[in-house]
Amino acid sequence: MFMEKVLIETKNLIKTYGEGEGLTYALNDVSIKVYEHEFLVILGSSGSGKTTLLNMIGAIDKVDKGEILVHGNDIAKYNDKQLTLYRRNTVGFVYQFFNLINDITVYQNVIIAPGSRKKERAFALLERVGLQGKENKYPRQLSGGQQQRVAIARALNKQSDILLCDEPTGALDDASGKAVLKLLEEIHNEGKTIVLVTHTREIAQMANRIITMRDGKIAKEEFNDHIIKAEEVIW
Amino acid sequence: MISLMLKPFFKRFIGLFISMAFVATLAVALLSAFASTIYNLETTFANYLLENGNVNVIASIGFADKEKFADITEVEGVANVEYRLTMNAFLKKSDGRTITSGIFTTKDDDSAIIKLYVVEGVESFSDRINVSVVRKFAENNGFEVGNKITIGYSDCFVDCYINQIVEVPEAIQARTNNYVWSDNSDFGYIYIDESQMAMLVDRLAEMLKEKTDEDPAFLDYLIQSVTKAGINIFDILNTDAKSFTERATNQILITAKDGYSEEQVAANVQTYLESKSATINSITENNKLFYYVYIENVIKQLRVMVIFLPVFFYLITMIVIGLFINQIIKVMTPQIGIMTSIGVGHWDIISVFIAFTLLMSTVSGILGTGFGVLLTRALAIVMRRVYSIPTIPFSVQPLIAVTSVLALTIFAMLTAIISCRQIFKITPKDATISNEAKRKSLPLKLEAFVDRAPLAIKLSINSIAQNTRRFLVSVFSIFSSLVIIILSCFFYISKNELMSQTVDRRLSFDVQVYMTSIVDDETVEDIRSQTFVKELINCDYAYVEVADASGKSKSYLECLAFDEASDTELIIIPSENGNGNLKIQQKGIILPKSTAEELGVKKGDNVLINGNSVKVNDVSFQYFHPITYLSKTQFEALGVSYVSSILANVTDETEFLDYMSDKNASISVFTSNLSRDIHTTFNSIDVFVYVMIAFSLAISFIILTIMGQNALIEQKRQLSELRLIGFAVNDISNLWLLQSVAQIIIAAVLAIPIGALTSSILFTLASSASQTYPFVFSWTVNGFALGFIALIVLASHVISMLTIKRWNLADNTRARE
Repeated sequence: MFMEKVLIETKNLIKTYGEGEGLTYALNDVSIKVYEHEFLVILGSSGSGKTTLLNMIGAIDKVDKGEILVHGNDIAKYNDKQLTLYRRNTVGFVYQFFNLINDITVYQNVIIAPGSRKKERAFALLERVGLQGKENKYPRQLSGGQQQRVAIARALNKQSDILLCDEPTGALDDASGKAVLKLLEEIHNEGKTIVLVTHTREIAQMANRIITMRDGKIAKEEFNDHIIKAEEVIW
Repeated sequence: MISLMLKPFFKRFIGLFISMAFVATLAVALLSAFASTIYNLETTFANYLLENGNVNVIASIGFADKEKFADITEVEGVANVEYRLTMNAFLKKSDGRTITSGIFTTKDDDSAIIKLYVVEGVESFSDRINVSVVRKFAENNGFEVGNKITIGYSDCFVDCYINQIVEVPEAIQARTNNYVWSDNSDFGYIYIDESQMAMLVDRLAEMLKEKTDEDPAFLDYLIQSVTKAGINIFDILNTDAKSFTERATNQILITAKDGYSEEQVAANVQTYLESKSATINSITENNKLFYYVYIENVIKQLRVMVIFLPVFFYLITMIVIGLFINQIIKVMTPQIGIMTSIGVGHWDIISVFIAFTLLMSTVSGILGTGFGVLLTRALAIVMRRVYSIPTIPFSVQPLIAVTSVLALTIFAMLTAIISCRQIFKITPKDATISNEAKRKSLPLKLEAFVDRAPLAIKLSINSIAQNTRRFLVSVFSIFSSLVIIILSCFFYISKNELMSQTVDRRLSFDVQVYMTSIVDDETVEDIRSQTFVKELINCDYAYVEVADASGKSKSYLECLAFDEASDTELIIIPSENGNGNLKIQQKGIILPKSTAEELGVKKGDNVLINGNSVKVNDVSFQYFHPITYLSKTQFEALGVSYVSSILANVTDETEFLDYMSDKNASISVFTSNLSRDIHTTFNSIDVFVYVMIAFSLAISFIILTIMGQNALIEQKRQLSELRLIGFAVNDISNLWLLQSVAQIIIAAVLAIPIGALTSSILFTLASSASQTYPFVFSWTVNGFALGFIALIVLASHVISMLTIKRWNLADNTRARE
């Protein structure tokens, strides 16, 4: 199923930080493909470049060199307005530390992005992620796991078919983390393409395909023959 | 986006909202009030003058028959003419005080050139002499419609009855009074119908004739003591007074034809009067009339205030809005980053700030207009109290109010948009940054110095370096407040100096008494020995003509002779060259500035008095009741006729008056009333000084507290870590205090010279020919301003330390979430 259409393709991405003797290659000639409907995990230790790569795909950061083709369009050449629309309509992003707006309610967090203001849909999504009845709570009144599920609901509210997750369970305890993984599994089973970044090999076992990064480069690319379910993840 | 974010935004930043609104409200209120007051003065007063004082030229002449000038209307440029009879007379009040008044004939006619604006009135009392009294004069002396007042000279007084209380433009002149025969509140104008004037003069003449028949010496003294009364006593005594009054005039009011300037008409009238051999005392064009010039000066000063105050406050408002929006953006950077990461556009985010600012502008506009109405009313009340003007409308002019609010809205929005430009630089990456400052490296040399410095200085300099902008904003805030306080204090000093220009030796006494006869030393000692007399000086008075050395320019002097043996040091009369006191020399005179300018003479020149050449030793600055001071030796050398007078400080006015009534006292002028009156008027300005100081301190406190909290947010982790390793709040307080001290020093170094320079410039702009606000530099002022600021800095510092005390150290030092 995941060998069909290429949804995202990066070509020879280079991203550096610092200058002169302090120049560091966060991404050093990285080329990957993301296929439609696949669950791709980008695995790597801290500093491997995995989050940087995800940020490039999510248009959160700008690449120094290379192409990022999404639905055939090179988003690396997009202007600010195009990037805003891309983030609004094409990808959903889930962060490690949730990144909710603390001054507004759960419901308002879900509908905050322009184009995602339908009340019924938002309520349905909150129910879907198990937060029915929490619509009027504020993020600070929720647990970490609940906050992450709000973030997922917000990302799903966009009608985009790509979900990017940066260490979504990194700030959660085991139980909450498993609940989030289970949710992501369900979303994937419904047809969404998920790209998840993690340093935990056990979580990577949930994926169809695993790309391992080291020192800003692709170290290994492998198909996962032993896909496990969320509740089987041990970390 | 606005509907989603505005409410939480508002809730979170309500403190900043209130601060911005506070400043903006003041700006709108001040602009509305001052601009409206100027507009009201310029239109209402202009209309009032047009309606009630539409005269172009006033010719004051010696008494002559009106018929002599019957063909004056044929003079080129003359449209309308009205003849008036004026005289000064004394009024006896029910409390025994004798006060002075200017009396003018008037016509109860719509065609009258100078009309009376009736404030309160009844039908004329039959078989009585009816008079109209100017409102201010009536208020100051407790006169009401229906009251009896007695008008006359010396012991000869006629009963008159007040049937109207009125306003008239020229009464402003009486309000400011240059007449030494009364204190300010006791002098005023009375208006009387021509036929009623005839009755008054007729009765007076009868009484005077009877008195002079009894006592021939009375006549000489009467001539001297009432020489300013403007009536030729001889004519009244020797001719039919009533017919004299009906046919005589000594003031001609003229309106000009269209197309003729006042100067042209005045020149033509002068030529005409000279051809008729009239004695010309003065020919004055309307725009040079005292009251006209006076109000023009007031409007000029108000214009300076309307430019300085509201414009300054608008500027402060914009700065505050800009600062606060920057602050909000800084605090909300991670959230803005989050929003951009999920597809919220930059303009969507900016729209929330714009809505916030628009809301603030609306609230401030409404409140500001409301306060503006109150302030306009207060200004109108002050104006009416100080000047003889009928009710000035105290309403804020709608167009001015709308303009003020629109100006605020437009400037606020522009400021907000400009401040929001930095939002475009916020990217989704910023969603993951903390508010903590990234470590910035110092310049190498400074780094080397800091490395060797004590810990406190090291930490302080690093803290400043992490956010130099914040440090500079704090410095600017302190600097602004210092400048305002310094300016306000210099103004306070200047006002007091100006007040001192109104007080001369004469006004430092409680009372001056003019006597009906020359008093001898024995009488003076007798008076001095009374228990209710604390101090007494015998100083003769004379009213003389003075001319420049060529004899061409002429004026009049009111002289007081002081005994040079004991009274050579005049107090509180600033000299032309500074603020030192002047000394009466044995020879020569001290001229008031206005007379010196009128004659075109200066210190060291000679003038002619009664044919004697006299040196001008000094020129004094006092402009109220300008008196010429000279020694008794010089006085006697002039050989002029004079009136005995004494200056006294008394413990009991009533007892003193009773006693003096047996001592040939003619007029008692309570000069302390004028002094008090002047102080009251000037001290009402103090309110503005206090408001300015309070406002600047409030703004400074708000900004410093915000900046302090901002700094705490940035350095929360570092400071918490210091707490974890054992630093007490007091230790951290000392570190922060170093920064505060540095801010104060830098701000003071700039503010002191700039504050002084600004004051000097503003005072020059606000000054006029008759009213010079002197600039007096004082280190005490600067010390005072620094003291206030230090208190404010300390207060905001205490708040910062209280915040630190409340911190949860575990939360603050946890790994970044």
